[in-house]
Amino acid sequence: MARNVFFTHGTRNEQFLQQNLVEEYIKMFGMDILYIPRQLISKDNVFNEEIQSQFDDSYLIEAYLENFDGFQGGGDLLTKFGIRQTDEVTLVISQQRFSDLISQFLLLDQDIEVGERPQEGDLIYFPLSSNYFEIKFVEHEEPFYQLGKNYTYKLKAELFEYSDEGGEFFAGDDELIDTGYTVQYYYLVTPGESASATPLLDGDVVSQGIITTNGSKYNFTPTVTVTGDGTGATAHAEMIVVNVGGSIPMSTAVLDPTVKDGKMVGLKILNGGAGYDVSRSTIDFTDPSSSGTKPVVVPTFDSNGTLIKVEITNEGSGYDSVERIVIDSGGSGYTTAAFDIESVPSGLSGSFQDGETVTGGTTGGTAMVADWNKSEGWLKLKSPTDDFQIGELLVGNTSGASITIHSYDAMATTDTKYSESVTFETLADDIIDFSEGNPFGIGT
Amino acid sequence: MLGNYTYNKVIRKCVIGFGTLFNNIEVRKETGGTTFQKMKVPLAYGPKQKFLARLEGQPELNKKVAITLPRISFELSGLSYDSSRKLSPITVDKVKDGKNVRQIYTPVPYNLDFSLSILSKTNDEALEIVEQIVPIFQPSYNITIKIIDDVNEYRDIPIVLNSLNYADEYEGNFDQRKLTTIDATFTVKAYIFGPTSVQKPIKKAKVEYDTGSPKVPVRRAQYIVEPVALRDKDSDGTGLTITASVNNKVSTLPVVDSTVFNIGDYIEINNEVMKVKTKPNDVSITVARGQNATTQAAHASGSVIDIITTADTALLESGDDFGFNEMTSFYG
Repeated sequence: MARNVFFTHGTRNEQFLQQNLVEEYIKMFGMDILYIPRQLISKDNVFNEEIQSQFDDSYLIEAYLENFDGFQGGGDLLTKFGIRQTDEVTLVISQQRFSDLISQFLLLDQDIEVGERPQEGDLIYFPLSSNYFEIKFVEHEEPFYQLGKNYTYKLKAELFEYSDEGGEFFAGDDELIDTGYTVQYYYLVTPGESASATPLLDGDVVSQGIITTNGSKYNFTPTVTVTGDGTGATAHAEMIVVNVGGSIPMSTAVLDPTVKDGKMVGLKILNGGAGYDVSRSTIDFTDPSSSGTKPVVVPTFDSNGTLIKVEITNEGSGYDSVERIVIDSGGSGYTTAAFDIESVPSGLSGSFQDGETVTGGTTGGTAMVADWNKSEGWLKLKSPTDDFQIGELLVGNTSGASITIHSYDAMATTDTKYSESVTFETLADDIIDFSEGNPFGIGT
Repeated sequence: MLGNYTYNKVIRKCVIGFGTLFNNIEVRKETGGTTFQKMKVPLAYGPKQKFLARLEGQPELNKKVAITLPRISFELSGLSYDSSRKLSPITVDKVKDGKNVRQIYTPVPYNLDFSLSILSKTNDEALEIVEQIVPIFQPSYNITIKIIDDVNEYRDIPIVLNSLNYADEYEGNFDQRKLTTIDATFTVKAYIFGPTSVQKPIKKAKVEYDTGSPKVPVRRAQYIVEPVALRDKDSDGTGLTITASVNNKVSTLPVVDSTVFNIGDYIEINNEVMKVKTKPNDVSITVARGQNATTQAAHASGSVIDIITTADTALLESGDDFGFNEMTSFYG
């Protein structure tokens, strides 16, 4: 049986009026939100999951908050995985306004799955509490076909679970970063200073090196070249000076330390000396040039008081400037001479842009700039594709700015967020014998 | 009755040892065979004091997102006695600890149950994490833990992977989140030790005996023997030096002041022990070189002279070489 033709169930003009009334209501009683569409870059076709998503754009639109007296959901929960916030919101937006303001742009983007309507998986930035909500369901039939048409989308959204998704929106957002997890920190605290020294001549032979500038921020022992009008003089720099003391030997021991990345990684006995008092003799070192600790070694002497073995139990830290120039060979024929000491890496130059990609000169790996500071000289990187190396030059792909990595700590944690990975590693060093290798741990 | 305070932190060490196995798990995202992203998966011990969790996890009251993923969490879920590893409870381990010998009774074998949970956004990530863990446990993996600091006791502690439970909740209405979790249970075969006690070296032996017989008067004797230091132990010779260098042959040593020495004193210069024979004047002594099995060696001017005294004897430790001082007494 056909319906009564004398009663209309909505004409186009009535529908327009209804749509306009809805929009007016939302504009009066609603709030402005940012709508952030998900660009689905790649998908896993086996498990039917996203692999890579980008959130680069945002659109301002007004929305009515249905749960005006507070967030829905379970609130803040303490779980075995730390604190989980389970806030949920229900927002009502106008279908027409979505179409006018947002859809027309989304339809142009091939990475947007469904541009005609709000997508499940898209994000909403909620300005009242500065939260990111992920749309989990778009209800388009509430209210149900008034005057023969639907006028609103009801967006049911819950707080976003962040798993290092890409996009300019998140690039510089420190609050989204669990340190040591999605981000690795690389520092060059201040640009280093190159060392310099003046040679002293004894006749035509180079006899001594007087250091005029110790330099700073060396992560390697710089090479020393003797220049001048003579021939044959060679010298090397020492970042740490070793002193075997505590007793008076018949002949003095000569030790050659190797310093790398501020640590004394080797100590070679060139001459063990003789006549050291075994019970009194100790090996001491100069203080670190920057904040750090002295190395600790255990010497072994034979019955003649000759140093035969040195075991390094702690490599120390903070040795990054030149302490002494040792003349290996004085050469001959010098009337003037000078030292040419290898320069320190140049540090940070230029201006990076937040969110740009940097490329490593040695490894070829890339990462995204999360934050940087020129005066303090550090760079914070996000989502690296490789483990960058100390001494490696990182160059910004967009800005052309560069930084040489002086030091880094991939697991550095400057805050007390979820991760305890570093804590366990540090505590385990004291109690676990990993001499046979830790198949999982850091630094194996 | 028990009251013998002990806390060797064995269980705590097992928690640390277990945790450190999983602190370097990584997740990589790839497209077309190229890695475009690497993430270290954060690990934490699950249980937390609630106020600390709130202060550290939400210092600004509000987080921008629900949670960051993936994450690994683990916790100690139970302790049970393992009778299959029981050993005789009266066996004593003795270990040298500096001057002393420490002794400790056989530990009691306990199994510690751990559960490890992995939360991830996608199946693939969860499986990526699992495949980094599972192959190492066949089904156990041993770690060597310094279980008692006092006695420097290292033990191989097997960690056994018992089971893996994989859950992927995806059915239902769209209001519910899809959740991929993996729960693994492990058994850590630990030993829990009791208190250690200290046994110092014996430094005096005394024997008393009768020498008489039925036909002669009784005569009682006492024999006491005590160790004597052969080498200087306390490096107390500050200010006593030789004033000129000597070779490895001469028997007359130039000294600052010979009156501090007594004839018969043993002295040590660098690594050589000598015996004072005479004092010709106030600034020299004559000695017998190379005493107590030490090697005669040259010594530089200014080398320190240590006198071997009863203070050095008091510092003797078990395991040191030492001489004897004996005394025999007779009583009518």
